[in-house]
Amino acid sequence: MILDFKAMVKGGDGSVVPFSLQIRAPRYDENRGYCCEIACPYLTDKNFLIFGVDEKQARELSYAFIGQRLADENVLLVDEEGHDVSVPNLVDD
Amino acid sequence: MFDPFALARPIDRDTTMDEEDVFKAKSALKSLGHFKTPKHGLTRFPDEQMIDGVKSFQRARGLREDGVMNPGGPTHTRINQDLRRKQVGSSAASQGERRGAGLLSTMRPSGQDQSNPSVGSNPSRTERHTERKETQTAVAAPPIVIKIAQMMGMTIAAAWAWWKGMSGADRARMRARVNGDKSDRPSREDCDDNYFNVDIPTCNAISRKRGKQATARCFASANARYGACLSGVPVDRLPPLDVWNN
Repeated sequence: MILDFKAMVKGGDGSVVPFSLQIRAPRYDENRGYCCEIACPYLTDKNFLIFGVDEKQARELSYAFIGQRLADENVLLVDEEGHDVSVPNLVDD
Repeated sequence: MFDPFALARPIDRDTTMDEEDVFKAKSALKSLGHFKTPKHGLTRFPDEQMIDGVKSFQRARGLREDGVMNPGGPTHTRINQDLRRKQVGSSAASQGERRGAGLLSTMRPSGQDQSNPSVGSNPSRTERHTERKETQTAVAAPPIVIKIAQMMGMTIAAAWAWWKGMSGADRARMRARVNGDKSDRPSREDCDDNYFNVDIPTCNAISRKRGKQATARCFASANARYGACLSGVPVDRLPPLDVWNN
């Protein structure tokens, strides 16, 4: 696992619901190359698979992908005290 | 803050550009006198003339002349400043022309700094003429065009020219999009199918011919296409897959 992140999603009506995001370590798919699996039940029940030319790019693209998806869906993340939080940045090796 | 011209991705000949960004960039550059509409009309496809237009604008504003416009970067910011100046000037020019005032007001959020004396109170004769023309365009444009202009962050004249150049099918699609009709929104399965069965195999196929760097670019563009698809962009309107640049 390269990311296991938990927070709350704040809705426009002030309601909050739990949010979790997991990005699994890159693996090699024999037919399609390096990929990371992203689990984000708030967005979808079906996990995403994001491919890259190597492990590093698969990680980078996974972070970029989920960041863009959350932005596109206008997901506002907050911590338990209601403060805005964001998905942690990818830390280079 | 009011931002009349938004970019989703960089305008840069070395990256895969977003077609809507391209159209908006061309419209903005045209509006500021740095892009001339070709005989075949304003298209959403990147071309050398647009890059030259960006360079021309950068040259005129003393910016780094590299033909690149990043979202929120110096060139983009300066274009927005010039567009806003122009729009505020338009407001000043249109005072007294009550016919267009209501329509033009729909182009900007309420509370905009229309009375800022440093930018809008004394437009040149040419600017007044141009803005008056835009006001008249707003009066004559159908409501769908005004909605498109608002949604895309472009001038009414540019939106109308685009609308006139669209095929019937494109107009129907655009009308549906503007009116919030999700019927042509691709499903998750459509997006997965395109990503797993078209884009990724294509990227893997070019790796043997074009090397790792080109393949990495291909994967990056495939990722962007996948995200755009999941956001509702129809598969046939996704930005192109980058299979050529090294």
